[in-house]
Amino acid sequence: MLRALDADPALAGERYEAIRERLLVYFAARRCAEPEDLADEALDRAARRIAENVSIETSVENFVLGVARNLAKERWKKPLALVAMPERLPAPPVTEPDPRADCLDECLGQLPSRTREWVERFYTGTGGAKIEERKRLAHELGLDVNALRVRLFRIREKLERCVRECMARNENVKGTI
Amino acid sequence: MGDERLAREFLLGMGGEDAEARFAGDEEFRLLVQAVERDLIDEYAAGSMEPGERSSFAGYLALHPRAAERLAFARSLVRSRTRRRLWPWAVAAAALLAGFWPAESGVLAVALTPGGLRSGGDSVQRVRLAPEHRIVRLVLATEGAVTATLRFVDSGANVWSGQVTDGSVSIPAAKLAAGDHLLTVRDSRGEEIADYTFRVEHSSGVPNGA
Repeated sequence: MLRALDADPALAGERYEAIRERLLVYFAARRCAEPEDLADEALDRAARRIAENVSIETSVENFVLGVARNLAKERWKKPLALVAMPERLPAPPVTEPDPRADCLDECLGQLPSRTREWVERFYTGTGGAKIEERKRLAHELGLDVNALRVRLFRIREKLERCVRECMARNENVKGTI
Repeated sequence: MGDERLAREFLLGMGGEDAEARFAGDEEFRLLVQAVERDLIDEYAAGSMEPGERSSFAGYLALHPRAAERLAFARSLVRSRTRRRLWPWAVAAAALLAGFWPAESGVLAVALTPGGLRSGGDSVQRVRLAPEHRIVRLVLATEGAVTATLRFVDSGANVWSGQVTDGSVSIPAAKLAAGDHLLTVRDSRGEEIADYTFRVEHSSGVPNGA
Protein backbone atom coordinates (compact mmCIF):
# COMPACT_ATOMS: atom_id res chain seq x y z
CA MET A 1 0.00 0.00 0.00
CA LEU A 2 2.68 2.51 1.03
CA ARG A 3 4.66 1.77 -2.12
CA ALA A 4 1.57 2.52 -4.19
CA LEU A 5 1.27 5.91 -2.50
CA ASP A 6 4.81 7.17 -3.01
CA ALA A 7 8.29 5.79 -3.66
CA ASP A 8 9.60 7.90 -0.77
CA PRO A 9 8.62 6.10 2.48
CA ALA A 10 8.31 9.36 4.45
CA LEU A 11 6.00 10.92 1.86
CA ALA A 12 4.06 7.66 1.57
CA GLY A 13 3.53 7.70 5.35
CA GLU A 14 2.21 11.25 5.18
CA ARG A 15 -0.17 10.32 2.34
CA TYR A 16 -1.36 7.31 4.30
CA GLU A 17 -2.18 9.47 7.33
CA ALA A 18 -3.94 12.02 5.11
CA ILE A 19 -6.11 9.29 3.59
CA ARG A 20 -6.89 7.89 7.04
CA GLU A 21 -8.01 11.35 8.17
CA ARG A 22 -10.34 11.59 5.17
CA LEU A 23 -11.76 8.18 6.03
CA LEU A 24 -12.46 9.39 9.57
CA VAL A 25 -14.24 12.43 8.15
CA TYR A 26 -16.23 10.20 5.80
CA PHE A 27 -17.37 7.69 8.43
CA ALA A 28 -18.13 10.41 11.01
CA ALA A 29 -20.13 12.35 8.39
CA ARG A 30 -22.06 9.13 7.63
CA ARG A 31 -22.62 8.82 11.42
CA CYS A 32 -21.08 5.35 11.41
CA ALA A 33 -20.08 4.08 14.86
CA GLU A 34 -16.36 3.31 15.41
CA PRO A 35 -14.91 5.38 12.54
CA GLU A 36 -11.34 4.45 13.47
CA ASP A 37 -12.01 0.71 13.18
CA LEU A 38 -13.81 1.25 9.89
CA ALA A 39 -11.00 3.42 8.53
CA ASP A 40 -8.45 0.74 9.37
CA GLU A 41 -10.61 -1.94 7.81
CA ALA A 42 -11.07 0.10 4.61
CA LEU A 43 -7.30 0.60 4.40
CA ASP A 44 -6.66 -3.13 4.99
CA ARG A 45 -9.15 -4.18 2.34
CA ALA A 46 -7.73 -1.69 -0.17
CA ALA A 47 -4.18 -2.83 0.62
CA ARG A 48 -5.15 -6.46 0.00
CA ARG A 49 -6.70 -5.58 -3.37
CA ILE A 50 -3.61 -3.60 -4.34
CA ALA A 51 -1.37 -6.52 -3.29
CA GLU A 52 -3.42 -8.77 -5.58
CA ASN A 53 -2.42 -6.47 -8.47
CA VAL A 54 -6.00 -5.46 -9.14
CA SER A 55 -6.07 -2.82 -11.84
CA ILE A 56 -6.88 0.59 -10.32
CA GLU A 57 -8.12 3.12 -12.85
CA THR A 58 -8.22 6.02 -10.45
CA SER A 59 -6.00 7.46 -7.70
CA VAL A 60 -5.19 5.24 -4.72
CA GLU A 61 -7.13 7.64 -2.48
CA ASN A 62 -10.25 7.51 -4.66
CA PHE A 63 -9.94 3.72 -4.66
CA VAL A 64 -9.71 3.55 -0.84
CA LEU A 65 -12.70 5.85 -0.48
CA GLY A 66 -14.65 3.66 -2.90
CA VAL A 67 -13.86 0.71 -0.64
CA ALA A 68 -15.03 2.80 2.33
CA ARG A 69 -18.35 3.55 0.64
CA ASN A 70 -18.95 -0.15 0.08
CA LEU A 71 -18.00 -0.89 3.65
CA ALA A 72 -20.44 1.74 4.97
CA LYS A 73 -23.24 0.34 2.81
CA GLU A 74 -22.45 -3.18 3.95
CA ARG A 75 -22.47 -2.30 7.64
CA TRP A 76 -25.18 0.34 7.79
CA LYS A 77 -28.20 -0.64 5.77
CA LYS A 78 -30.66 0.92 8.19
CA PRO A 79 -31.52 4.64 8.01
CA LEU A 80 -28.84 6.82 9.52
CA ALA A 81 -31.39 8.53 11.74
CA LEU A 82 -31.52 5.33 13.77
CA VAL A 83 -27.89 5.60 14.74
CA ALA A 84 -27.80 6.97 18.27
CA MET A 85 -25.92 10.20 18.67
CA PRO A 86 -25.42 12.39 21.69
CA GLU A 87 -27.13 15.76 21.85
CA ARG A 88 -23.78 17.41 22.42
CA LEU A 89 -20.31 16.78 23.71
CA PRO A 90 -19.63 17.66 27.28
CA ALA A 91 -18.04 21.09 27.41
CA PRO A 92 -14.26 20.72 27.57
CA PRO A 93 -12.83 22.06 30.79
CA VAL A 94 -11.51 25.61 30.62
CA THR A 95 -7.88 25.47 31.68
CA GLU A 96 -6.31 28.40 33.45
CA PRO A 97 -3.72 29.25 32.29
CA ASP A 98 -4.24 27.86 28.81
CA PRO A 99 -1.02 26.19 27.55
CA ARG A 100 -2.62 25.60 24.16
CA ALA A 101 -3.21 29.34 23.64
CA ASP A 102 0.41 30.02 24.66
CA CYS A 103 1.62 27.42 22.14
CA LEU A 104 -0.64 28.90 19.49
CA ASP A 105 0.84 32.34 20.08
CA GLU A 106 4.30 30.82 19.66
CA CYS A 107 3.27 29.03 16.44
CA LEU A 108 1.56 32.12 15.02
CA GLY A 109 4.74 34.02 15.76
CA GLN A 110 6.66 31.63 13.51
CA LEU A 111 4.46 32.45 10.50
CA PRO A 112 5.46 35.16 8.05
CA SER A 113 3.64 38.35 9.08
CA ARG A 114 1.54 38.35 5.91
CA THR A 115 0.35 34.79 6.49
CA ARG A 116 -0.43 35.59 10.12
CA GLU A 117 -2.51 38.55 8.97
CA TRP A 118 -4.49 36.24 6.63
CA VAL A 119 -5.16 33.85 9.50
CA GLU A 120 -6.34 36.64 11.76
CA ARG A 121 -8.58 38.17 9.10
CA PHE A 122 -10.00 34.89 7.85
CA TYR A 123 -10.92 33.61 11.28
CA THR A 124 -12.21 36.95 12.64
CA GLY A 125 -15.78 37.75 13.62
CA THR A 126 -19.03 35.95 13.15
CA GLY A 127 -22.00 35.97 10.78
CA GLY A 128 -22.21 38.57 8.04
CA ALA A 129 -19.12 40.49 9.13
CA LYS A 130 -17.00 37.35 8.85
CA ILE A 131 -18.38 36.56 5.38
CA GLU A 132 -17.67 40.11 4.18
CA GLU A 133 -14.10 40.06 5.56
CA ARG A 134 -13.44 36.77 3.78
CA LYS A 135 -14.77 38.18 0.52
CA ARG A 136 -12.52 41.23 0.87
CA LEU A 137 -9.47 39.07 1.58
CA ALA A 138 -10.26 36.74 -1.32
CA HIS A 139 -10.60 39.74 -3.63
CA GLU A 140 -7.26 41.16 -2.47
CA LEU A 141 -5.53 37.84 -3.13
CA GLY A 142 -7.29 37.25 -6.46
CA LEU A 143 -8.94 34.04 -5.27
CA ASP A 144 -12.50 32.85 -4.97
CA VAL A 145 -13.70 32.33 -1.40
CA ASN A 146 -13.54 28.54 -1.52
CA ALA A 147 -9.96 28.59 -2.84
CA LEU A 148 -9.08 30.99 -0.01
CA ARG A 149 -10.83 28.69 2.47
CA VAL A 150 -8.73 25.74 1.32
CA ARG A 151 -5.53 27.78 1.42
CA LEU A 152 -6.25 28.88 4.99
CA PHE A 153 -7.19 25.33 5.92
CA ARG A 154 -3.70 24.21 4.83
CA ILE A 155 -2.15 26.88 7.04
CA ARG A 156 -4.43 25.95 9.92
CA GLU A 157 -3.46 22.29 9.60
CA LYS A 158 0.19 23.30 9.97
CA LEU A 159 -0.67 25.46 12.98
CA GLU A 160 -2.58 22.59 14.58
CA ARG A 161 0.44 20.31 14.10
CA CYS A 162 2.78 22.99 15.47
CA VAL A 163 0.59 23.43 18.56
CA ARG A 164 0.40 19.65 19.10
CA GLU A 165 4.20 19.40 18.93
CA CYS A 166 4.65 22.43 21.20
CA MET A 167 2.33 20.96 23.82
CA ALA A 168 4.08 17.60 23.65
CA ARG A 169 7.45 19.34 24.11
CA ASN A 170 6.14 21.26 27.12
CA GLU A 171 4.74 18.06 28.62
CA ASN A 172 8.13 16.40 28.23
CA VAL A 173 9.89 19.32 29.87
CA LYS A 174 7.39 19.20 32.75
CA GLY A 175 8.01 15.46 33.05
CA THR A 176 11.74 15.93 33.46
CA ILE A 177 11.47 18.63 36.15
CA MET B 1 -26.34 23.93 -4.75
CA GLY B 2 -22.93 25.51 -4.07
CA ASP B 3 -20.03 23.29 -3.12
CA GLU B 4 -19.68 24.94 0.28
CA ARG B 5 -23.34 24.24 1.07
CA LEU B 6 -22.93 20.64 -0.12
CA ALA B 7 -19.86 20.19 2.08
CA ARG B 8 -21.67 21.69 5.05
CA GLU B 9 -24.68 19.39 4.63
CA PHE B 10 -22.36 16.39 4.24
CA LEU B 11 -20.73 17.15 7.61
CA LEU B 12 -24.07 17.85 9.27
CA GLY B 13 -25.19 14.35 8.32
CA MET B 14 -27.64 15.65 5.71
CA GLY B 15 -25.58 14.86 2.62
CA GLY B 16 -27.05 12.59 0.02
CA GLU B 17 -25.50 10.28 -2.57
CA ASP B 18 -24.26 13.26 -4.53
CA ALA B 19 -22.13 14.56 -1.66
CA GLU B 20 -20.81 11.09 -0.89
CA ALA B 21 -19.85 10.46 -4.48
CA ARG B 22 -18.10 13.84 -4.67
CA PHE B 23 -16.19 13.10 -1.49
CA ALA B 24 -15.11 9.69 -2.76
CA GLY B 25 -13.98 10.88 -6.15
CA ASP B 26 -13.11 14.57 -6.10
CA GLU B 27 -9.91 15.72 -4.37
CA GLU B 28 -10.91 19.40 -4.48
CA PHE B 29 -14.22 18.64 -2.80
CA ARG B 30 -12.47 16.60 -0.10
CA LEU B 31 -10.22 19.55 0.70
CA LEU B 32 -13.23 21.86 0.82
CA VAL B 33 -15.02 19.49 3.20
CA GLN B 34 -12.01 19.53 5.52
CA ALA B 35 -11.87 23.34 5.38
CA VAL B 36 -15.60 23.63 6.07
CA GLU B 37 -15.19 21.18 8.96
CA ARG B 38 -12.89 23.72 10.66
CA ASP B 39 -15.44 26.49 10.05
CA LEU B 40 -18.16 24.40 11.65
CA ILE B 41 -15.90 23.62 14.60
CA ASP B 42 -15.30 27.37 15.05
CA GLU B 43 -19.04 28.05 14.94
CA TYR B 44 -19.69 25.24 17.40
CA ALA B 45 -16.99 26.48 19.76
CA ALA B 46 -18.33 30.06 19.57
CA GLY B 47 -21.88 28.87 20.25
CA SER B 48 -23.06 30.66 17.10
CA MET B 49 -24.70 27.68 15.36
CA GLU B 50 -28.45 27.33 15.00
CA PRO B 51 -29.72 24.78 17.56
CA GLY B 52 -30.67 22.22 14.87
CA GLU B 53 -27.28 22.39 13.17
CA ARG B 54 -25.54 22.35 16.54
CA SER B 55 -27.29 19.14 17.48
CA SER B 56 -26.46 17.56 14.08
CA PHE B 57 -22.82 18.58 14.25
CA ALA B 58 -22.52 17.27 17.81
CA GLY B 59 -23.13 13.84 16.26
CA TYR B 60 -20.11 14.33 13.99
CA LEU B 61 -17.92 15.63 16.82
CA ALA B 62 -18.84 12.72 19.04
CA LEU B 63 -17.53 10.32 16.39
CA HIS B 64 -14.38 12.01 15.12
CA PRO B 65 -11.43 11.05 17.34
CA ARG B 66 -9.69 14.44 16.98
CA ALA B 67 -12.78 16.57 17.57
CA ALA B 68 -11.93 17.53 21.15
CA GLU B 69 -8.44 18.65 20.14
CA ARG B 70 -9.84 20.71 17.24
CA LEU B 71 -12.46 22.35 19.45
CA ALA B 72 -9.75 23.29 21.92
CA PHE B 73 -7.68 24.74 19.06
CA ALA B 74 -10.67 26.79 17.87
CA ARG B 75 -11.11 28.26 21.35
CA SER B 76 -7.41 29.05 21.60
CA LEU B 77 -7.50 30.77 18.22
CA VAL B 78 -10.17 33.15 19.46
CA ARG B 79 -8.28 33.78 22.72
CA SER B 80 -4.98 34.35 20.97
CA ARG B 81 -6.56 36.80 18.52
CA THR B 82 -8.24 38.63 21.36
CA ARG B 83 -4.94 39.00 23.18
CA ARG B 84 -3.14 40.25 20.07
CA ARG B 85 -5.76 42.67 18.83
CA LEU B 86 -7.31 44.03 21.94
CA TRP B 87 -4.44 44.52 24.30
CA PRO B 88 -4.61 48.35 24.19
CA TRP B 89 -8.32 48.20 24.81
CA ALA B 90 -7.81 45.73 27.67
CA VAL B 91 -5.59 48.26 29.41
CA ALA B 92 -8.33 50.87 29.12
CA ALA B 93 -10.88 48.37 30.38
CA ALA B 94 -8.69 47.53 33.35
CA ALA B 95 -8.46 51.22 34.20
CA LEU B 96 -12.21 51.47 33.94
CA LEU B 97 -12.68 48.53 36.25
CA ALA B 98 -10.13 49.95 38.64
CA GLY B 99 -12.50 52.73 39.52
CA PHE B 100 -13.01 55.18 36.69
CA TRP B 101 -16.48 53.88 36.05
CA PRO B 102 -18.99 55.92 38.04
CA ALA B 103 -20.39 53.81 40.86
CA GLU B 104 -24.14 53.38 40.82
CA SER B 105 -26.12 51.63 43.47
CA GLY B 106 -27.03 48.07 42.49
CA VAL B 107 -25.18 48.27 39.16
CA LEU B 108 -22.27 45.96 38.35
CA ALA B 109 -20.15 47.25 35.44
CA VAL B 110 -17.95 44.76 33.60
CA ALA B 111 -15.76 45.41 30.56
CA LEU B 112 -15.71 42.51 28.10
CA THR B 113 -13.36 41.55 25.30
CA PRO B 114 -14.95 40.07 22.20
CA GLY B 115 -14.86 36.47 21.21
CA GLY B 116 -12.87 34.69 23.82
CA LEU B 117 -13.13 33.57 27.36
CA ARG B 118 -10.03 35.40 28.46
CA SER B 119 -9.67 39.03 29.24
CA GLY B 120 -6.08 40.06 28.63
CA GLY B 121 -4.60 37.92 31.37
CA ASP B 122 -5.04 34.29 32.20
CA SER B 123 -8.50 34.21 33.67
CA VAL B 124 -11.87 33.41 32.19
CA GLN B 125 -14.05 36.48 31.69
CA ARG B 126 -16.33 36.40 34.68
CA VAL B 127 -19.33 38.34 35.85
CA ARG B 128 -19.54 37.85 39.60
CA LEU B 129 -23.00 38.69 40.85
CA ALA B 130 -23.79 39.52 44.44
CA PRO B 131 -27.32 39.68 45.84
CA GLU B 132 -27.27 43.51 45.86
CA HIS B 133 -26.73 43.72 42.09
CA ARG B 134 -29.89 44.55 40.18
CA ILE B 135 -28.38 45.53 36.85
CA VAL B 136 -25.30 44.29 35.03
CA ARG B 137 -23.77 46.77 32.63
CA LEU B 138 -21.56 45.06 30.07
CA VAL B 139 -19.13 47.49 28.47
CA LEU B 140 -18.36 46.37 24.93
CA ALA B 141 -15.28 46.89 22.77
CA THR B 142 -17.13 46.95 19.46
CA GLU B 143 -17.81 50.11 17.48
CA GLY B 144 -21.07 50.41 15.61
CA ALA B 145 -23.02 47.95 17.77
CA VAL B 146 -26.70 48.82 17.86
CA THR B 147 -28.52 45.78 19.24
CA ALA B 148 -27.50 42.73 21.25
CA THR B 149 -28.90 39.32 22.16
CA LEU B 150 -27.76 37.15 25.02
CA ARG B 151 -27.95 33.36 25.08
CA PHE B 152 -27.27 30.81 27.80
CA VAL B 153 -24.68 28.52 26.18
CA ASP B 154 -25.69 25.21 27.75
CA SER B 155 -29.35 25.36 26.76
CA GLY B 156 -29.06 27.74 23.78
CA ALA B 157 -32.00 29.67 25.30
CA ASN B 158 -32.35 33.38 24.59
CA VAL B 159 -31.95 35.20 27.87
CA TRP B 160 -32.22 38.82 26.85
CA SER B 161 -32.19 41.14 23.85
CA GLY B 162 -32.04 44.92 23.66
CA GLN B 163 -30.24 48.06 22.57
CA VAL B 164 -26.56 48.93 22.86
CA THR B 165 -26.33 52.39 24.41
CA ASP B 166 -23.04 54.31 24.57
CA GLY B 167 -21.13 51.09 23.90
CA SER B 168 -22.73 49.09 26.67
CA VAL B 169 -25.77 46.98 27.44
CA SER B 170 -27.68 46.90 30.73
CA ILE B 171 -29.20 43.57 31.68
CA PRO B 172 -31.36 42.80 34.73
CA ALA B 173 -29.24 40.66 37.06
CA ALA B 174 -32.23 38.38 37.66
CA LYS B 175 -31.94 37.15 34.05
CA LEU B 176 -28.39 35.89 34.52
CA ALA B 177 -28.13 32.31 35.74
CA ALA B 178 -24.80 30.83 36.73
CA GLY B 179 -22.93 29.48 33.68
CA ASP B 180 -21.51 30.49 30.31
CA HIS B 181 -23.27 33.12 28.22
CA LEU B 182 -22.85 34.32 24.65
CA LEU B 183 -23.64 37.94 23.80
CA THR B 184 -23.99 38.65 20.08
CA VAL B 185 -24.00 42.26 18.89
CA ARG B 186 -25.34 43.55 15.60
CA ASP B 187 -24.95 46.72 13.58
CA SER B 188 -27.70 48.98 12.20
CA ARG B 189 -28.31 46.55 9.32
CA GLY B 190 -28.82 43.64 11.69
CA GLU B 191 -25.49 42.02 10.73
CA GLU B 192 -23.61 40.20 13.47
CA ILE B 193 -20.38 42.09 14.10
CA ALA B 194 -18.99 40.49 17.26
CA ASP B 195 -19.71 38.08 20.04
CA TYR B 196 -18.60 37.92 23.64
CA THR B 197 -18.43 34.87 25.86
CA PHE B 198 -18.39 35.17 29.61
CA ARG B 199 -19.20 33.17 32.71
CA VAL B 200 -21.70 34.29 35.30
CA GLU B 201 -21.03 33.35 38.91
CA HIS B 202 -23.29 34.01 41.87
CA SER B 203 -21.75 34.78 45.22
CA SER B 204 -24.78 33.36 47.09
CA GLY B 205 -28.51 32.95 47.19
CA VAL B 206 -29.19 32.68 43.46
CA PRO B 207 -30.15 29.38 41.80
CA ASN B 208 -28.07 27.84 39.00
CA GLY B 209 -29.28 26.96 35.51
CA ALA B 210 -31.37 28.83 32.92
